[in-house]
Amino acid sequence: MIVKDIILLIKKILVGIIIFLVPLLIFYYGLKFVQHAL
Amino acid sequence: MKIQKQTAVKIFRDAVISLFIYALPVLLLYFFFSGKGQQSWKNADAEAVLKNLSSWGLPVLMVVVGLVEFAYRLYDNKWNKNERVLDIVCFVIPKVVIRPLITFFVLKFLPVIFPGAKGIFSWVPFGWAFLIIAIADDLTQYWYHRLHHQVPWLWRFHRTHHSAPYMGMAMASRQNVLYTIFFSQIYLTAALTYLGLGYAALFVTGIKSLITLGAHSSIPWDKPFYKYKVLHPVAWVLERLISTPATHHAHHADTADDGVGNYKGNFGNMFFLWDVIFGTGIITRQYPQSYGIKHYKQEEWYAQFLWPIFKSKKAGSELAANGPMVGDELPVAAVSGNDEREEEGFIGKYAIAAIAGLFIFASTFAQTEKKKGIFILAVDSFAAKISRQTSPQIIDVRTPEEFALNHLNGAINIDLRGTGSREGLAKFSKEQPVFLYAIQHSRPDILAKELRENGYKEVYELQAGIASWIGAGYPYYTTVKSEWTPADYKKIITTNRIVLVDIGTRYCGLCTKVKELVDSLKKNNDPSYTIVELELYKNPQLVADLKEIEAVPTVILYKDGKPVWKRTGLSFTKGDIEAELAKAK
Repeated sequence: MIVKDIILLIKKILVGIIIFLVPLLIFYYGLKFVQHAL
Repeated sequence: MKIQKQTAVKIFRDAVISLFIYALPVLLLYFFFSGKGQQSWKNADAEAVLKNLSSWGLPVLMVVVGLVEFAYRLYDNKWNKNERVLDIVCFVIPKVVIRPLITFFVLKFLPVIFPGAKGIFSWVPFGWAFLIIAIADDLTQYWYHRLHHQVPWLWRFHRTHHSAPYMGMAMASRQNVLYTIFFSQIYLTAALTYLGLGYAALFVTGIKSLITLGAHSSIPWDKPFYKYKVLHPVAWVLERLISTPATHHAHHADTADDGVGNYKGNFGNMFFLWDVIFGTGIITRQYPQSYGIKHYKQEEWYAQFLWPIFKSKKAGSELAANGPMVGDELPVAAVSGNDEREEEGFIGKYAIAAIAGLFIFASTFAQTEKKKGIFILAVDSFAAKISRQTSPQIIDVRTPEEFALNHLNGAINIDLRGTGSREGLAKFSKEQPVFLYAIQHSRPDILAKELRENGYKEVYELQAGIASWIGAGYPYYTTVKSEWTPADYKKIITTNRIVLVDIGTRYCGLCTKVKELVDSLKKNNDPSYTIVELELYKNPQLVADLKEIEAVPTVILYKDGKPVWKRTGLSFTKGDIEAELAKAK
């Protein structure tokens, strides 16, 4: 495993984090909104 | 090799649509509740469900399906030694590696990211939670999967899944280990489970596992639906809604020349619906002639499983040290968009109808058992409703003794014991909302029903009672000066290494039961921890200052001054407390 591979892996993990985080924040703040707006 | 501009534009467009799809169930939930009145915001313990998520049922089912496939020689004699080792390693190792990772993520990471948020959304009715988890888990996996096909530098992490020249149950788990470990949807579903949607997650992941296993298996369970005319309408719905062996086998084809294969699309896992919506799907009722990738070089199992940690020694392989990012015989078009078949996107017009069908399906599960005109509210909503009244009608449904110690400003007292005089109600308007509270909502429930029967139009109950009101810092009346100050409290939890705090009141039945548990621990005379019991009514200001008491009884375990375990209600046993104490030691 060389530096190029580590950079590739970090890029892959970042992509994974984004597609994990975006829906999580939508659901978290969305449901919080539902709970407190009514 | 760079991603094609056309493909990047399409990915961006579909990602924006996905944001809307993610938000859709939450928006619908909002309109559902606002249209029909608020549901009870209940607390529940997600821990038991988390334990069940890692059940053994699915691996056993996979082994059984695998044995059937093997017995009927469905692997077409292509399962050589290298493939066998790879399939078995991919089946076993991730199950050993991922479980501790998820456990760490849920028990250590999430409490830091979302402190005190465990189970906060357990009030979401099952049907809605099912819909949320189904979209969260499967749409996220769709994107994870699609990007590994359409972004050239991601392809090699997913290549192992497509390299086999056969189909079978083993394909469902045949992945490069880094692809599996960083599966976004696993962590998303674990996070939503932590937040309280665990029961629905259990169902969704179970159903999803069955569908994906069936879609990869070489047992063509969908064939009868295509063969018999009477089943054609069912087939029409099935092949658009979920991944079938036909549509998913097409994704694993090594060519599109046979008119069946679509390795450039059909990315859906549980739902094929995403492919329908984004125009990446081609529906077929036939099976491809051959599977795998044209430029497969039978790379060593360890290179396929562990690339880029270990590389292949096969010259010209994508997995070799100086190999191409995408194989020569599979140029960029093979891992780019599906643009030349864009006209197939017309099936997207069915998307709205299919989504509507999903919502109807989910809403049949929705908890609609609501007593008309009676609403149980969490403290913030309860306070907000009161604040909108010019002259709020508030009733304290506790005993006069409790009422004298503390109550909401402006409340009158109705004691339900004995004859329970209702004379205070005389000045209340039946047209205006009435607000009820006690310690929990069992006593308010009784009065609420009575008020509705007597013509009061709207009755609101405070879900977690007076403790949640005081704990949230809303104003209240009291004649009591707290026995403990915040400084006293801080001192005791910091000067003792392990402290178990039980906050309750003798007027509450559940608190009494928890007190019995805690008292039985006292009898152990274990010097390694300290037990503190706080009476809510004698320490209202402390409860307000702590800002972490949402109901009584509440038990909090502190280690070195920091809370490490907290439970509300009677959602634990003596054994649970002892286990947590042992862990803290």
